[in-house]
Amino acid sequence: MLLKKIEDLDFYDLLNLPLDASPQEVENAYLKALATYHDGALASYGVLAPQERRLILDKIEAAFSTLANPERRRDYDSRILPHRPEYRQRAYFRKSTVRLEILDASEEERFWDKVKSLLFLRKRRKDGRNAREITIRGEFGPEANGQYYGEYLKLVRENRGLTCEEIASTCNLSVALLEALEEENSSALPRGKDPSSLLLLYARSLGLNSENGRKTNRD
Amino acid sequence: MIREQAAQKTICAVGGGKGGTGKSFLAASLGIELGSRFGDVVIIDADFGGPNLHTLLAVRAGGRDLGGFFRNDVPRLEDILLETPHAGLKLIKGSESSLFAANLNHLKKLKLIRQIKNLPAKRVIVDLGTGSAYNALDLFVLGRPGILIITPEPTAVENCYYFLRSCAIRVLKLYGQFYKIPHLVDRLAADLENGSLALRGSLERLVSLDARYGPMLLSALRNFRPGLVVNKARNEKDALLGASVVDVARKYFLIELDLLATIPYDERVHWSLRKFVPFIREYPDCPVSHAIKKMAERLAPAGQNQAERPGALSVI
Repeated sequence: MLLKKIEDLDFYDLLNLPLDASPQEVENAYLKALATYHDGALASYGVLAPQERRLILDKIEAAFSTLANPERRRDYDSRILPHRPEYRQRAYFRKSTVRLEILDASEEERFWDKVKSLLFLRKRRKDGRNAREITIRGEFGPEANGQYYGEYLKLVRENRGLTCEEIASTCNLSVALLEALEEENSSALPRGKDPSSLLLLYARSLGLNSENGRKTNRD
Repeated sequence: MIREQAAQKTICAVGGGKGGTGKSFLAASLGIELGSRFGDVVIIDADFGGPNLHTLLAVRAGGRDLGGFFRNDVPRLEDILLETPHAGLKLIKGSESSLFAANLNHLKKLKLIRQIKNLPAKRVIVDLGTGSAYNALDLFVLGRPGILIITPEPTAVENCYYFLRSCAIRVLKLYGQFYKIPHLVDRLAADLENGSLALRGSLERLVSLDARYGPMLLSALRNFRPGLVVNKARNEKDALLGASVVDVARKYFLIELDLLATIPYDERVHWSLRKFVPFIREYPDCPVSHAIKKMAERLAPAGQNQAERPGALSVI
């Protein structure tokens, strides 16, 4: 039994994803990995040397750019599948790549995700919990929260070495507005504008696709 | 001597490197919940340096305690079991002569471990003290699961990794003795002294060095599967910490943690302590109590953890 080096982990192992992960799951796993390993992250505090941190962050970026693009992902899968334990041939007649087709079947899933999320929101509103009591769901990403966090978008931008000015030119938002979104400073946002739609615009300019990114304000 | 642990008992050891993370609070709340729902629970205050579990459980000071057991005044651990005001829960109080107990010798520790395993109870909870001394590590490793508790602070997270690393070396040392390859583990420990906090690099070198026993030690480490609890989470970002720590531990320490619960911060915990009323009794329907109850449900079935990992070894 050999112990793989971190740099030799495949993208699915790196982001803790199953082979049939949906695009939304890939995106959530990417944001979660950035939140775990970015410079100053609490969870990896004291564990990584600067060059180790750079190594894993670059690898996470490469994983997302591959897995978020269906064509590149298909190519990548065809290269790594023969080496994955799930796909080792157990009997000569059972070799199959049928699970790859799950990529093509995600439309229906997305529809049910939307239905579920709408039901979930209604239930939450009826709930009427005491504001002092924090409920912890332990879930992650737009799917769970209803919108992007500015802080995570900032992580993505910084990890790709982009400036606010560059983003501002692609999504027609001002630099000051982008900074306010990143700081989650709602008082600096223009009145009458829905912060979640601005965050979604920002997210799309970073290539975070998200059908599920719209929805409501956080609180 | 090492042998397979008896399968009918769940022993949860609540520990972690840093003080003030809520170990005793969690142990007491779990004890009360498991006792009232499933019964037959014994909780042991193994914080030898500063025992105070009895205060959290509203049991008066004085009476029999671990000090008498260590001094051989009482031969068996079950002779110092105390009733508590909570249904289905008995307490073994920590020693009040703390200086003696804090510096427990090896033989007395082995006697304690042996008797914990033979206690006539289906569920045993061991509340450990702070630090990574051998006494705390051995009792933590005894737990199936050992429950590591952290708070969303850099000091707590850093101590958690130090604690995990020390536990891993302790586990590997036990296996090293068992397979008569202590030199290999000593070499690993020496390698770690000069290297980074993470275990992975040293283990990679160990596996490449010894193709026969290296992988064996790696499998041994996979049998060590502690639980993780994040306490005092103040917002949803804190709630993600647990999953992130699990990922870092898997990748850089090769230790698989089970995220058992994320417990939100609640100011009222402090006031319950001041009133000497267990929080889970005073506010049974708040998110903190719900998180603990859910965790108790996961831990309840006696013997389940052992069944999952038949090869788990432990010290006697």
